[in-house]
Amino acid sequence: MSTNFSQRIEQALADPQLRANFRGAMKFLRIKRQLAFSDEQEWRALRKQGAAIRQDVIQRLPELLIQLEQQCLQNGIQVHWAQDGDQANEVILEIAQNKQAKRVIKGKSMASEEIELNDFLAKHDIECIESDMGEYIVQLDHEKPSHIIMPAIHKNTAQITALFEKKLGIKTPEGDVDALIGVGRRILREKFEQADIGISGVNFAIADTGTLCLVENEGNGRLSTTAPPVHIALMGLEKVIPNIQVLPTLQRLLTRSATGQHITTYLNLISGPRKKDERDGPKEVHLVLLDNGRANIRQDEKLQNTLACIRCGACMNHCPVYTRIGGHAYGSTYPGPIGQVVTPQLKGLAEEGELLDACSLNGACGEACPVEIDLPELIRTLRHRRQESTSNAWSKEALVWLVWAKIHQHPKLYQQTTRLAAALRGLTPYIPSLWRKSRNMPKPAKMSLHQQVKDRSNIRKKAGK
Amino acid sequence: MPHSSKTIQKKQQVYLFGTCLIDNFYPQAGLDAIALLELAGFEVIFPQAQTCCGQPPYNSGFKAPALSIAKQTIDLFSDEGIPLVVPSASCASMIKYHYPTLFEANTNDKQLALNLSQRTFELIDFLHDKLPYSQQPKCPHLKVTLHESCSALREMNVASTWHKVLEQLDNIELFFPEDRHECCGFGGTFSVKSEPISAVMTHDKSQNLLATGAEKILSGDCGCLMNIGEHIVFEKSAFKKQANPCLHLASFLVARFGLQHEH
Amino acid sequence: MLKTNNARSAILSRLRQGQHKVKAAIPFKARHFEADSIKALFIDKLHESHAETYESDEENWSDIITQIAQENSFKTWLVAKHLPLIEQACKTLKSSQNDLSFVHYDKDYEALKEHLFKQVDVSITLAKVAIAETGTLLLIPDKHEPRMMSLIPPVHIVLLKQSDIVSSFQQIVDQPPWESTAMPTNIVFISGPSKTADIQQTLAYGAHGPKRLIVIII
Repeated sequence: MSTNFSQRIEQALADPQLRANFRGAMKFLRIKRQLAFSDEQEWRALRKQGAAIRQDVIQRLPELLIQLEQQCLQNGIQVHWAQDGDQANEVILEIAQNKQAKRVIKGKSMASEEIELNDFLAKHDIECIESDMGEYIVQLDHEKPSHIIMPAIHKNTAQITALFEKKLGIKTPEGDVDALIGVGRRILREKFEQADIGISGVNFAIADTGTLCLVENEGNGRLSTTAPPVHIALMGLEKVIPNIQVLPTLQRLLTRSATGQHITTYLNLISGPRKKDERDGPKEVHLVLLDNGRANIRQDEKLQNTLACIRCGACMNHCPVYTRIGGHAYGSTYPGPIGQVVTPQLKGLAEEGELLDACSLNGACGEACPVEIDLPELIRTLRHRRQESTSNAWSKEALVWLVWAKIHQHPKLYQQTTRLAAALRGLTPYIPSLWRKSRNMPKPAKMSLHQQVKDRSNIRKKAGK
Repeated sequence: MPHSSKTIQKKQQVYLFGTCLIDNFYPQAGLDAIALLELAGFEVIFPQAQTCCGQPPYNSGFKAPALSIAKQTIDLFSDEGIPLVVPSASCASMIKYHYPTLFEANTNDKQLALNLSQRTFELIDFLHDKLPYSQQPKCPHLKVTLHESCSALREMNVASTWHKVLEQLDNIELFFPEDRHECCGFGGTFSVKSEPISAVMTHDKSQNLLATGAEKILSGDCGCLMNIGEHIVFEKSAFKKQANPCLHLASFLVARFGLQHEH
Repeated sequence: MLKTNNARSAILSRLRQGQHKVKAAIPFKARHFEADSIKALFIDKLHESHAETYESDEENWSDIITQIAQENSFKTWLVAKHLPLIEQACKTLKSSQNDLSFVHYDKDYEALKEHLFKQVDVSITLAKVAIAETGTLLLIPDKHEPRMMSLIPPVHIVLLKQSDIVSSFQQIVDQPPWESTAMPTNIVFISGPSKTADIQQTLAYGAHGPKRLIVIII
């Protein structure tokens, strides 16, 4: 593990407030999800359907995207394709510059975090304000989100109250969440009114009708995509779905897995810009299809199911590692198990492969995934790929396993080694190892199972059994 | 010696895969596994050439070393009529669920692996309906807690069977810890490679298990037991110099069924 | 744009290089509830999400609106023009109180913005259909009832016919028509007042959308 990752982990583990915040939050989300999926049979059936829908999408991606583009164009939605984050940012900048836009209001979009859109626009003197309450809080504190559904989950009420006082000069009563939300509502309302462009993500895009589907509870998504004269929707290309008939299943899986809700307050279906006789809505709607490594993932038969992800966050909610180190420790847009699988594939195993070590392969993530992504198996496979592609084929660890294999391949050698270890068991207290930082080192047994079984069978033979 | 006039019943044979951890550190659990299998009427075959299932390098990303070890294993337990019983859910899972993937590049080996997979069982699950529950000797009252290892829970799906077995034992009280299904932090090499995270997880699990008031912590996986047990003993002040309370389910069952250990 | 056309071909060619097995379509089974329990379930679900409900019959429903007006001292009402049900509601309101003002959404949003954000206390809209399973209203904004009507005001009242309540979301999507030519610009499913739990998982209402959702079932 790199010093940076190790450092971030140790920092997180040493922060009792952070640990308490995450502990409480993850437990809360797990319980809510459990209640929403209390019917085992329904969970299993939904999950199977969800997995089948998403796998079908992965297989038919090129044709579905072409159909989506066709339908969107027919509906008056302009479609742009971006191979990577830089291209996506350029496309968005060009639209903004054409409109002489200076102010952007944003709905929640993890894809926009992925391409670091806010920073890019800021460099070009375009103000980009987050309108989702959690994202707004995080932006105020110059941080990145620590969870893909609840961005400010690492902060508690007291910390947010202090933040508002410090950064906005607005003091609210201690523990008064309603007051804090009221502050956010007031400030952001102005931004909705004044914005030149609204940018959103896309939860699902329906190919056969050219429709963008967005789920939310707050209403900021609807405001961002209705008030400004221009709406830009940024979408990872795997988010396309074939038709509206599959939407209820996916929606049921998404909202229950994410927050335990059977449905979010708003499900918004956008199929075009404002028509001539309509009175509100954006006059221009743009859809930016983002590749940024996704097409490459699809080519890999073992790893392509990574693209099934509907970004619900259930995996990280159930991950005992994430619960303890929080989202920022991963240092990537997507944290937790899905982050450990996506980030090395998007940014390279050499750069981000170390994320794969922060996993005990306990399987809670795969068990919770609503579309049956076998996350532990993907992590394992990526560990194999990491080793196969490494420039350091003779690392310390590789040598350890080489020796391990040699010993365990040869029964006689194995038994000799066992006998040697047993003979030297007195030296056990002196073996250096990270294990010993919090555990005693167990001593090898005086006689191995092999030996005892052999002796036993000798005794039995002698007794005529 | 004259032959008996009775026909000798041929016992059904099972292979025992002891696992390298039990072999080197907890051989008693292996002997207890054999004792239980014999109690249930099986003849246990323990090929001396067995070593390891290959899981440690496999999970760490090192396929080639894992493959060479696993090849040894599938060649060794080759009799298709003999079930393979493993006193560890995680090693059983490696053989049952991961060997077919590991050997996918070679058709013959894959066939051997698939065949072995079909007849591989975790020990307690294999025995659960074959033990003489109605003939339990009187044993002292005991409070126990069960650590359902991740492999038992999510891969082999035998955690509920472990529970069922304990429910049929006399004079014990069974407790489950807070955050019952959370990983104990062992994860094989994870315990060393991600030591700081693992340490915290292990401490939480140890605390939760002991907080049940149980006198013994039971599980079917020696890796977890080693992790939890050696941590409890290490943290003298946090756990009030508590002796290692961990015990393999096989050893516990041997004690409760009053079996003698052979010397 | 030339750049994005190049991107388009590059992306599509990468996508076409992967496995290309086509799977069969997946059959779905919509959930159906008994007719008499649909309304009760619908109301329960709305209450769970902190929405308020009133039940009425064909004759007295507009009285409920005046009752709501009086109890809450709502002064400025945002309503559509030229919709019979809405006109009836307004008529009843006007006759019960003479200090109310009505904003008609008969201009473009840009011209009405100030009124919408700063003056309107409450809006009334119709709903096309409702889903009992989740306590959801389906609105299709159009030239009469634009999108902002159900979004900007702090209180949103919805008029719904009991006969328009169906069991499940799946039921709606399984029924035609959903052809691309007939797709409205916007369809919004509303399942309660606006809310957020972003601050220490504590529920708070009226984050950005309406703080109160009132449903009158006729």
